[in-house]
Amino acid sequence: MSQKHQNPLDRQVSQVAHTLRDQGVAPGRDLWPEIDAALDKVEQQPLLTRRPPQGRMWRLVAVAATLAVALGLGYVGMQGPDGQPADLAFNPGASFLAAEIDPGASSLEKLDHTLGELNQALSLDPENRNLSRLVLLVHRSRADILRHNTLNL
Amino acid sequence: MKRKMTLSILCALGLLLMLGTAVAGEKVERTGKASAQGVVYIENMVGSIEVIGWGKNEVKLEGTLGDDVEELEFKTGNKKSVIEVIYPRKMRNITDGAELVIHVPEGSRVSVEGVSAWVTVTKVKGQVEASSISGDVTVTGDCESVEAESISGTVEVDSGARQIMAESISGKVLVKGEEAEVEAASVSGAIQLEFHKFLELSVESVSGTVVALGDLHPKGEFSFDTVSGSITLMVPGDVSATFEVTTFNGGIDNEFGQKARKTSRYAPGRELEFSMGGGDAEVEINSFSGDIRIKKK
Repeated sequence: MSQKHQNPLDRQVSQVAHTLRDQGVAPGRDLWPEIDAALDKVEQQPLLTRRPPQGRMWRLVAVAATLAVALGLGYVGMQGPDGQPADLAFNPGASFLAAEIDPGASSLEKLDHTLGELNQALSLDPENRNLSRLVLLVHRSRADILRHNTLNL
Repeated sequence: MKRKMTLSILCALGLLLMLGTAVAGEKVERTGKASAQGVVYIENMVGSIEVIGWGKNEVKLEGTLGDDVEELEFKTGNKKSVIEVIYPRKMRNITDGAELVIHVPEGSRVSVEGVSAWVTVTKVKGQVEASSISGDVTVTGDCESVEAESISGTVEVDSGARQIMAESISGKVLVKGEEAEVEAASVSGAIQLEFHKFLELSVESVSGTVVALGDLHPKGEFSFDTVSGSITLMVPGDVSATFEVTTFNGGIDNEFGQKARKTSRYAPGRELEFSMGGGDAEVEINSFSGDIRIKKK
C-alpha cells in the first residue's frame, strides 16, 4: 500500500516506527513480515470456518453448552407476563456504552464517558468524518438531556 | 341530646365525604363549534389525553378532573381552539390530574402536550404534533404529518403520513407506515421502523438498537448513525442502492455477499462499499462500536 493511500492511523504508526528506527531503537530483527503474514492468514479465513486446534474442541463445546443454558434462562427472564418477549428482538452490544441511559445525572456521566471514548478514537484518526458526526450526535443528546433536566427543576 | 349530636356529626361527615368524592373525580363535558381545518391546542400536564378525529365541525371534550386541577380552559373558534388544564402554579407534586377524551374535526392540525400524561391521537387527517415528558405518545391514522416525542416514554406511530418524526431519549421509538420521509432518534431507547417504502430516512441513536425494515426510494438518501447501538437494515433483495458502511469497532454482516474490509492494519475498524441494482438510493450506515447487519427481506 502506498503512503498516499494509507489510513491516517497507519501513517501515524509508520511514522512512529520510522522515528524509533532512526533513533536507533529498531528491533533485533524485522518482526513485521511474520505478523503481517499471520494477520493475512486470519483475515482470509471465513469467520465460521475457522477451526480451533483439535485439543481445544471439548472446551469450546463446554462453553457453547453453558452459553446455550445461560441464553435460554435469559430468554425466559425476558418474557413478559403474557408470554411475549419483553423487549425487541435485537439487543444492544454488551459494552459499557450499551448500558441503559436514563434521562438524568447518571446518563450525563455515561454520555461524558462515551464522548471521551469517541474523542480518543478521533485523536487517533482526526480526519474520520464519521467519528466527528458521532461526536456531534452525543453532544446533541447531551443537550437534550440537559434541557429536560432544566425543565424538570 | 347526645344521640342527636352524634347523628348530626355523622351526617355532616357523610356529606363532606360525598362532596369530596365529587371533587376528586369531577366529570366534565364541553362542546364548541370549530372549523374543519383549524388548529387545536391541547395541554394537560398529568393524567391522559386521548384525541379522536371525527366528521363534525365541533370540538367535544369529555373527561374527569382530579383533585389537583385548578381550572379547565375550553375555547373553540374558527381558526383556533384551546383546551388547557390549569394546575396551581406553586404546586410541586401533582398526582391527581385530568383524564380527557377530545373529539376534533378530522382535518384539524392538532398540537398536544403532556408532562406526566399519556397522549393518544387517532383518526386525525391534518398535521399532528404530540409530546410528553414521561408518558407514552401514540399516534395512529392517516395524518398529513406526524411529530411525536417523549423523554422517557415509548413513542409509537402507525400512520400513512408522508412525513414522520419520532424521538425519545430513553423510551422506545416504534414507527410503522406506508411511504414516508422518516426521522427517528433516541439516546438509549430502541428504534424499530417498518415501512412499505422509505422516501428518505435519518436515524440517530447513542446506545439504542436500530432495526429498519422496508424498501428504499431510488432517489432517496438514507442515513444511520449510532455510537454503540447495533443497526439492522432489512431491504428487498432487488433493491437499487449504493451502500457505504463503516464501523470503528463493530462488526459488519452483509447478506448480499460483499465482504467488509479492515480500514487499518492496527485498528479494528471495518468498512464496506457496494452497489446493488442500478445503485440509485444512497445508504450510509455508521457506528462506533455497534454491529451492523444488512439483510434481505
